[in-house]
Parts: sequence; structure tokens; C-alpha cells
Amino acid sequence: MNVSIGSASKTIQNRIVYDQELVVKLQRGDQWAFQLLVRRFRRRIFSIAYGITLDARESRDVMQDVFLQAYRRIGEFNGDSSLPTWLQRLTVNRCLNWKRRWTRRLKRGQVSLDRGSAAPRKTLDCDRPSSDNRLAKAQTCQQIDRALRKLPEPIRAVFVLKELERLSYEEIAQTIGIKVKTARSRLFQARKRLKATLLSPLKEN
Amino acid sequence: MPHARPICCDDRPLDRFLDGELDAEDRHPIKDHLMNCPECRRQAVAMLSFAKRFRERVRQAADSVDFVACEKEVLIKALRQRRFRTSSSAVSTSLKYVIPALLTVGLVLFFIISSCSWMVPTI
Repeated sequence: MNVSIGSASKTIQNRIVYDQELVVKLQRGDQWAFQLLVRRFRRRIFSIAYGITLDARESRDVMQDVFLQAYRRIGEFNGDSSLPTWLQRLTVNRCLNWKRRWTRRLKRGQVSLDRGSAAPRKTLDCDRPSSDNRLAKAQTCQQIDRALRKLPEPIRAVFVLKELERLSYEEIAQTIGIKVKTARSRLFQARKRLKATLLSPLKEN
Repeated sequence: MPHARPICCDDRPLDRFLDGELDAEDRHPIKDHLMNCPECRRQAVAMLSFAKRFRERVRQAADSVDFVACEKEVLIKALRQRRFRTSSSAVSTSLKYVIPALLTVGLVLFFIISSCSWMVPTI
């Protein structure tokens, strides 16, 4: 047990040293270091963005913007927070950017109007019901999306950091730049609204 | 008929329990409560199951992305950005010297012209 804890802390320590080395190389303008950064964090950043935006194309754009912003602003990184925290912060800020939010809302409005005319829509695998299994999966996906869309985006961002990144209240507060109390309260709001959405059909039945 | 929830049930400690934010000491009363309160148990199970399905949903979405193509695109854009920055910084550096030099020349000319006009006798 002690051995496994020791090796885990050693791994974390190695990762921190590795992150610091990566930052130094990036600040020197090393192209390979940038490629390494992208390769290492691309899936993680996409996942956070997808959790907040619930749109694959939008999340890809956010991911690219975050890396380009990181590349541009790596000189400003002073090590106050860890590299993953800094990238998480850039991602959340990018997703909650007011211009992007409005574009998303307008697009969503457009999509809901288009659905009436049966316009083709780009879908994920789980949105394509070709068998019973897929139909069930698609229903689950829709149910999740519907429940999450009911959450305002700043609240959704806190929920995403908690559930996907498994951050503590303090880490969430540090990442988003809010008080710990606010982070806790937003998470509480998220759960309350989700419970209301998820459990109400059950109660009706 | 929906289950009536006892008034003593408070969501906040339950949420903190689910988030793993409680000490071992504070966890026990919540565990006991969950054993005895079917409604709280139902809500806890629903939230845990939702979180699991949400993670699965995001994983599926990430699986359908061509990250290699994305990486290539980002690298190309970053290189372009770097080239633009290098060229624009060269221009801005040169402007940093050219503008004060022009201003100095202008001031010197202004003083020369004004002193010359002062020296010309008025009729």
C-alpha cells in the first residue's frame, strides 16, 4: 500500500517536473515542445469544451483557440498555478466568452428551426439509431444533453470540472477564478437542477 | 405517488459526500442516513449514474474526433502566427526608433524656422 502511494506521488512529482521543463522549452519558442503540449492535452481540453458547449465542432474550435492562445501567451505563464490548471482556465474562459456564447445560442436557434424542415444534421455515432441498442444509446445521449442544456453555462462549467476533471472545490475555484463558496454553491445549483430534470419524469410515472 | 422526503434531509452534506469533500468523521452519519432514507438514496444513485453516463457521453464524443488532423491544423496556425509576429515585431521595433527620430527632426526644424523668422526685420 505504502509502495503504491509512494510510486503515485513520485509519478505526480515527475509530471510536475516534466510540466515545468515543457513550459521552459515553450517559453524559448521550441516547436517540438508545442507539439508535445498539443498531443498531451488535446483530448482533455476537447472533453472540457465538449462538456460545456455540448457541440463537437465548437469544441474542436475551442481546443484550437486554446492551444494558439497558450502558444501566444506562454511568456505570461509565471507558475502561479500548474500548467494543466492554466490550460483548463483558458478553456473555460474560451467557452464562456460572450461572443462565442451568443454565436452558439443563435446557431442553436437556427438548428431548432431547421429541424422542422428535416434538414440533415451532423451527428455523433450515438445519435444514429439503427438498432435497438443504438436507439437506447441515442435516447440516453439526448436525455443527458437535455438535462445539461438546462444549466446555465457558468454552472455547467463547474459541474464539468467536477465530474470530468475530478477537481476539488478549491481547485475549481482556482481554475475559474471564483471563491470556493461560489464554486460550492454553483455545484449545488447544478445538482439541484439536474435532480429536478432527471427525477421529475420518474415521479410522474 | 412520489416519495415524501423527510424535512431533516439536507442536500448540501449529501452533495459534499458525493464530491468526496467530507472527512471520514463526517462521512459516517451520511452513510447511515443513506442506508435508512430511500429517497436520498434514490437521488444519490441518480446523480452518480448521471455523472457516469455524462463521462461516457464525452468519451464517445472525443473518440469520434480526428485529433491527428486537429494537431496538424494547430501547428500550422501556430507557425503562421509566429511568422506574422516576427515580421510585425520587426516593423514595430523599427517604428520605435523612426518615430522619435522624425519627431526630433521636426522639432529642430521648427526651432530653426521660428528663429529665422524672428531674425528677419519686420517692415
